[in-house]
Amino acid sequence: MTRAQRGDRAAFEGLAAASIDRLHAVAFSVMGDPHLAEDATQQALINIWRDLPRLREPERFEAWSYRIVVRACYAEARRTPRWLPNYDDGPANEPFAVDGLGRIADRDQLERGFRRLPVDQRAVIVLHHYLDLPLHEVAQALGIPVGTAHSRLHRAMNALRALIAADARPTTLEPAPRVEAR
Amino acid sequence: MNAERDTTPLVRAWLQQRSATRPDPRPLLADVFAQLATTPQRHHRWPGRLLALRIPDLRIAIPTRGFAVLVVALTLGLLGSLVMMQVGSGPAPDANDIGDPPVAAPPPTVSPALPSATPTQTPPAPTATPSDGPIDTTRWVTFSSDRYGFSARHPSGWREVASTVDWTLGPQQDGQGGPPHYPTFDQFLAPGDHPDFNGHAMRLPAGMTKDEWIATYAASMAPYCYPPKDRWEQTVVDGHPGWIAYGECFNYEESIVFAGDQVYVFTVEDTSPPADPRLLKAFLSTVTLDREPASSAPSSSPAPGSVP
Repeated sequence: MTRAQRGDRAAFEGLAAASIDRLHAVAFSVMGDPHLAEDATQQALINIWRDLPRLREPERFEAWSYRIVVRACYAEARRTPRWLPNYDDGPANEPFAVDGLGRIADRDQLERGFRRLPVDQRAVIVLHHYLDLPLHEVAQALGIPVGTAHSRLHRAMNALRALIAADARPTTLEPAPRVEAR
Repeated sequence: MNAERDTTPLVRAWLQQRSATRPDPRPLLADVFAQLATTPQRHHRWPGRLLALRIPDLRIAIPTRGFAVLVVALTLGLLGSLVMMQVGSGPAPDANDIGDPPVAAPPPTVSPALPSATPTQTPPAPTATPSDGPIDTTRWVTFSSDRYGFSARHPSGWREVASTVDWTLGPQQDGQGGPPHYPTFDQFLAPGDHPDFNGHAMRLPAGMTKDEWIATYAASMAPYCYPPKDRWEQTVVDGHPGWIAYGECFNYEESIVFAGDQVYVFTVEDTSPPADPRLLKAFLSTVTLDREPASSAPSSSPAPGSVP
């Protein structure tokens, strides 16, 4: 890390190779599109290289890098204001169930609902519910107060539930339980 | 059934399953490594590590030894100047450091009528503190857009990128490579390419009212991010009425201004939320709309920028 901060490209290449998978996972989860995720990941790594000398606390590299990749997602989303994800991971209406919960929404409904969330709300969901970061680390990664992170997550999940509920439609399977839209 | 309790594990499982299908990102590394040689690293602009104690919000320190007192006294004196310069020229140098507070941006308020600027007038000098007052534009340099018939000022050191094609309503075509850029933009980019200010304009299509144009334009933006018109802030740009719209998920603010049969859109974008609304207002205070745009007589040549 120290060598990379001093401009050692070989050292940075090792750091990048060790980081790219988790950064790409965040970018892909936020953007929902492989091409946009690739662009955001590449830009994030370049920004990390550029700003690495300014990282005063190398032990916080991971959280710092999450902030940079989320910012790259913001920028990438701005580049494509009419963004329509072309993400496809299987049949659109395939039921998506979690043991013990029953089928609340199919994968396509989740995808549609999630993509309609603002990028900042998607980011807080991904950092907390995908990376399992506690809220104070989410706040640190996003550069916002903990209270803001908490309220943003709350709003994001409420919005997602509402969007899923609004998107609910009859299927050939047994009726899905209604999701409270709050 | 408790929706919150039930939705959370569903979302968690969905995110995990979804991520498991993503492509291997490692082939991207070659492109990243290829760009390192042309991407200089950025370093601190002042010796923050020399300072013993940190005040979290300011990232400055208090000395404990005699000599350091003198050094820090000088540093603090310079710091005010640096802050002033940074407010005018982009994000603070440590903006990417972990733990930095978000940029303190005053809440959007109804803007007073901004002063009319003409090519011979000097933009108003700010009088308030750098943290909450207007941004000093007195030393900014002028860019003139022949394509769109406006002039605007930007901080010295910002990069000008002139538009290469006329703007038309509808989806915008992204530029190739480099920083975010659309070929219809006349754009100024801060060092590091963020934040940036861009402007473009078009003649109001025949038979289309201003309200119809606004509706058409807003429909071309991502609907979940672009604020409805009832949340726009009224403003005046070079004596012409306009609005400021604050993007609700991307970090941008933009102003729509009608002047005669021309409609102008000026935008400030940044990568870190929230984009400072003072920056757009500072740019707008330097805008003049008094020249005949080349787009009235279509031209394919780039608009030349002029830096005095």
